[in-house]
Amino acid sequence: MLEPSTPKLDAPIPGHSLTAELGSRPWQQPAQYTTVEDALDYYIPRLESEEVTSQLLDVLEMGIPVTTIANTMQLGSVMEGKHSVDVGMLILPVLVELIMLIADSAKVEYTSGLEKDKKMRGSLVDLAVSKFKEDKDKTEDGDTMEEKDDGKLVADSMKQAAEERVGGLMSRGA
Amino acid sequence: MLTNPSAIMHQNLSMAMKNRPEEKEVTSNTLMGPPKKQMTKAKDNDILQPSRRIASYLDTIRAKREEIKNA
Repeated sequence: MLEPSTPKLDAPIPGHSLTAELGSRPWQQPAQYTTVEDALDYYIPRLESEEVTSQLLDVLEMGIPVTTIANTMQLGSVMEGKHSVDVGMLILPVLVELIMLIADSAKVEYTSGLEKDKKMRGSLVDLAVSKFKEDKDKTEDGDTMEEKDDGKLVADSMKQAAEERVGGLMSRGA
Repeated sequence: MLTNPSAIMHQNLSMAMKNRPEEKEVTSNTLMGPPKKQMTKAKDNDILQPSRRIASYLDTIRAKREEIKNA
């Protein structure tokens, strides 16, 4: 097993989960909405309400990505015992699209969070691939520079040789 | 550590929707024909899969968004 190089101090202490009575937390109870449809029936009216919509648009205008908002919403509902984590995962794409629909209808500029930029790439493989490409581009540029330099040198030497050979082939040498 | 799976879920579902195989017309059983296998029956009930249902909702919402964008 890999040992982390730095100690993880923000983790809960061992046995922390046993300090509350089992079943006393909402997420330890059976979920209120067990199907995708039930969960969406819970979300859609809330998202359509004026109060939530205005707050949502404010948050979007601040530049918070849609994906972050959707994830926070579903995570909060899981903690409240509204639905299970599985249902939350399944409805995530619908929540993302719904929030984008609300933003589009209100003509608000937003960050979707689905763009494939460097910051959003979570996977180490992606990062490694992009770094490799960058390094490769750099080395290729270096090679071409050397080639160019070599080429320039060759051209210069040829020019010099041509200048030295003033006469024609049949002319007498100096 | 992955803390926000929204983007991945969205991309995976979009890819699955793009790569969905075309539905073939299944001829109905005849008296003399071979009986349908259990697998084909399961495929018929594909729409009952939660991911399929989610995909259909996603299609509807995307169509609405396109309408709004084009209006």
